[in-house]
Amino acid sequence: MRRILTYIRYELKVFLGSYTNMFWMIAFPLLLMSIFIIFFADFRFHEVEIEKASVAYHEEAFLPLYFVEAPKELPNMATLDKTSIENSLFQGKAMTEEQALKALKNEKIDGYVDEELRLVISRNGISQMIMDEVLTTSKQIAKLNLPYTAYDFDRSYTESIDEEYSPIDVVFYALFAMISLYGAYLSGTIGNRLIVRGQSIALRNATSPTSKAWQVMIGVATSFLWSLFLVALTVVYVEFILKQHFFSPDVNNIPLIVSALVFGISWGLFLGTVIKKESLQTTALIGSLLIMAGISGMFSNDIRILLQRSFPSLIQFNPVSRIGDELIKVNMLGNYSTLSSTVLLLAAYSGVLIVVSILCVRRKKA
Amino acid sequence: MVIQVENLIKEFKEIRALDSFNLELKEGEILGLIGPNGSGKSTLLLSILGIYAFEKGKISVFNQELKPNSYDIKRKIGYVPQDLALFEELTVYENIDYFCGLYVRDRKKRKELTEKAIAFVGLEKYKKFVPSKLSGGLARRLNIACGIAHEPTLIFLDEPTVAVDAQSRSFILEGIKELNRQGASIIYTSHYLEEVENLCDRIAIIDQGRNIITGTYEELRDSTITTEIIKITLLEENADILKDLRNLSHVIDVTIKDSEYTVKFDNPKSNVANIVQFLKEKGLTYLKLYTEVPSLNDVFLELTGKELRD
Repeated sequence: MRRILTYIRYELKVFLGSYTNMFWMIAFPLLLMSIFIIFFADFRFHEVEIEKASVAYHEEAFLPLYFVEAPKELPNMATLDKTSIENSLFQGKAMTEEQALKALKNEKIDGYVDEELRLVISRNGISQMIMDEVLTTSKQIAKLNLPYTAYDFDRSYTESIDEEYSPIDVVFYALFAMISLYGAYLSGTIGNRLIVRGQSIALRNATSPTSKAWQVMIGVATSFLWSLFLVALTVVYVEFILKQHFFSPDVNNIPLIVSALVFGISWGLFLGTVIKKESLQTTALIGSLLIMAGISGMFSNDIRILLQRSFPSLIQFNPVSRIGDELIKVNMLGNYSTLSSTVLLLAAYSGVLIVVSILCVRRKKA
Repeated sequence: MVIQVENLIKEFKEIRALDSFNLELKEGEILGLIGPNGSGKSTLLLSILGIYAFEKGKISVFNQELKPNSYDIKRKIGYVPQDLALFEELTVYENIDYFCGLYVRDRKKRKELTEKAIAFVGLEKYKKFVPSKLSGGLARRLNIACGIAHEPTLIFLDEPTVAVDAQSRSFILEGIKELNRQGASIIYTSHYLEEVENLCDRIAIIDQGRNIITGTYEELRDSTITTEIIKITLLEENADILKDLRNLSHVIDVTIKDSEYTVKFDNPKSNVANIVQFLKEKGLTYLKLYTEVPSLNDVFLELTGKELRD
């Protein structure tokens, strides 16, 4: 065990041993966070407060939309006017499906809820996401045969800070998701030290009696500890230094973040073993992380919305998008419906990348 | 036998890097490998070390085939690569400890060996220095220390004195002799022929992937050098002597430069006595008269038709 700790210490020292590396690996992500918060924190909740989802609905779908806010006293259902609705989340009126589709096409409404509580939309956005959330919960209540008064009246989508969610949050979580993959930079160096392709240190390691498996294990363990530290540091920095509340103390964050760290490490290991040239490895690492984060909306939520409309599967299968979305759902919306599928997808990606990397490391002699 | 290479053929695509190569390293000897760049020296070392696969032939190390998981054999081997294989971010002590730790698990033993290696290469004052703060010679010493700290009994030294100042070179060569005295068998490659001549028990001359000849320096010289060069400086210059020297039997060439005559014979031995007799007969007094000992470069030139440093 002591030997393992010694080598982890050496790995970390080699990785962070220069001021340049320390800047890029520690200071830069925190700097990005600071810049982001300084420029965008003020816009964070403003946009959500002023926007109500413009909704059309079948009369049968009135109640789920109506009960998202607790009425001061229970209304008389027989005399309740169901032709129009206005509360803190929605405004709109009852329509036939035909009228609604026309309104959707002309972008006059954000969505239409039919009598089966199915949501019809013409584009993606926050309004649509909130409507979807309300309808999913309503369906669950109906399935359980509970009265609509069993709706979680305490949950507010616009007033409680913990549950607020804005396009700026998409950018923040995409940035954070990218930082959670930073272990790739360390694990990306493992291949260079184990596969003999010109580097003399690899020659030394290859001629030693220490197995490659042990050396990979040390590199992976160091990468994991390093990326865990960086994520923890970022959370502490954002929550306590920048005083921005993006994270809730929800245990569901743990499997999500762990699977993100493992995916990051696997991605670095993969690129470091399949690409021979060191300079090309660095370019591929930086480029791939930026592209994945860009797709998930790190540069602008509009890019993400555009891609979601044109290439929805790109968002669906992009690991950074999945991590960012899940972080929003867990920390902002308290929604865990897709958490396990995201964790499984990241685990599957990691598994494939690790298998390919091991095959490359174990590759026959030159 | 520590190493036995038999009929080894190694090819890189269409280039044959080693061609029916044979070599033996006996226990306790220093074997020098000399040859120009690209002759196959490093390829041979990496084939023996199990890094390169080869097309044909057989290599045994300590009478066994070296496989990736031959950990017991690997534990006895030390390798000092031609390029510096050091971590720039780790100190002298940490670098040696890192590589020694790949061979020795016990922490206490590793510490002892690391300290010993530092003393062996004379880097006690630089323990906490990072490699970039060391001179070229000191960095080379560190490179060696990293390869021998675990006290191997078989050491591969691939041009360990390249770009090293005279003082460090002498220190390194003394160190190699000491390792050999302590019982290590060594394979040593170098471009510096005088080093190989002085250091190695036997020498293998490699050219174009072939082992041209292996033997002691004397054996190589005797089997390849077919001429002798004698140099004479006379007390007084004599205009006729040049012609008389050329008429001597077995003389193939005579030149004069700065009052020194260079006489080349077509046979390698017993020409000094004839020259002395000739000068006596002519009544000439000589200030200096000596046979120029053929260098390893002469041997190499004779065998391959080219200078080693081509």
